[in-house]
Amino acid sequence: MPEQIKEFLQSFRKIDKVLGVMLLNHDGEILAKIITSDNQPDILEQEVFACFQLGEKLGDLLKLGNLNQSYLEYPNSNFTSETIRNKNNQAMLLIIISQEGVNLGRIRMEIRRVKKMLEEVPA
Amino acid sequence: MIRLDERLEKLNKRVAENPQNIESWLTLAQANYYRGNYLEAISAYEQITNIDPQLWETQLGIAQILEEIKQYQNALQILNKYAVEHPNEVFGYLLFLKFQNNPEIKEGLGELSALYKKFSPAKENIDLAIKSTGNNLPIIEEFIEDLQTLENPSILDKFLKTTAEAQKEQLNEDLKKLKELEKKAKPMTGGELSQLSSQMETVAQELNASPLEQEIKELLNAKGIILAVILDRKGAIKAQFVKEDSFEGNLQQIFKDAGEVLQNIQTINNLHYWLLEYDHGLLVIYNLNQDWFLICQGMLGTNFGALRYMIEQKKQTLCSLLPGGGS
Repeated sequence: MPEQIKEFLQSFRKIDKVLGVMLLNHDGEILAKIITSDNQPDILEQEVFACFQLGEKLGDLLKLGNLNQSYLEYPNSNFTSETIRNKNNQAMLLIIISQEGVNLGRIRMEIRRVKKMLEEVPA
Repeated sequence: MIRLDERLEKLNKRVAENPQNIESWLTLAQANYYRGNYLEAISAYEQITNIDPQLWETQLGIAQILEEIKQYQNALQILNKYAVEHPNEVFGYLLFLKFQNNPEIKEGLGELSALYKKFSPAKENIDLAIKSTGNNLPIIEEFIEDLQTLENPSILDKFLKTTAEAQKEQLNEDLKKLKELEKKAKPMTGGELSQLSSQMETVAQELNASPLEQEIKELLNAKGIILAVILDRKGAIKAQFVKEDSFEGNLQQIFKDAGEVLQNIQTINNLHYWLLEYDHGLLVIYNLNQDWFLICQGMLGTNFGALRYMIEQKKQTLCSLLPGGGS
């Protein structure tokens, strides 16, 4: 199964300035990870995950509903994350790490495409 | 415009050199759209569909342009096809709402209304967002907002001016109503009293606002923004502004909890900003300097590009008004 997920994530590699992509489960464990560049991102995946948990909590307290997508911008890299639920309604976090100047619209398009495939992945 | 024309030239060169590069075609489509070169924009979108037919969202870009150039039948045909194939995608629904506000195309929306009925719980929020954006909710906004802000800030300036004028008009209308009430000189009902009291509270809040609060209040002019707060690293609120009746809850407690988590993120001082998108709106956490965050909450449909532009414009002033100055 991780191989199948990795295969889905490969499509992000064709986007200019994408440094890496990973999928975490709801406990923050890495299900799949592809790094396409030697450049070190500004923060670690576990910190992105901590941000995700805070984002969920804030959404709850401010009655904003489910957190669907978030974007963290740092000086040398940025992180787009998307919440995905699989067939068993278990949440996963897709994180795309990219460089300044990346076409975010393109990343979002690819996320929506890949999201549909990941939603079909059994637990 | 010169900058945009130069950019278009470069983009055209780029797609000629690498015709399989989707990003280049997308950027070219967006730039042409902004320049008003609609046919070229459509052609660029079509190229993307040829390269990867699964990138169906480009169809919405085309439908929006067709509506703008009054090719209503073709625009409807695309949106109908899209809605049948992707009935759960809110992006089609947003375009549907935009069409609904066009009297010339509204009649042809019958089948779509039934298809998009499921979105009705979100309708109120979206309608409000459309209203606050002056009925301008481009479906490809999320792709082009950066370009809009960087390439053509006059669009934003125009929007801000329109918003200020609309507020002035509203104020005049309110004054007229007040004078009519005075003439009638009837005892006020409980509802009228409560409304007046609420209006007076808002006015009092504005009059008592500190320079810092005045500054963050102006951020609420960005379309869809309903809350702006400044807090320190521990989550203690220094200043806040909330649009009338838009929020219930203990902000102090909510952001104190947030501050505790943010403190534990080691690299937080380097963060520029953090954008969070939810079912019913968005949050932006902006790092003003090493001591202060600015947090804004917006409704569904909020133009983040415009908000970011405003924050960047105000950042220095805000920092100078905060303890610690512009550190």
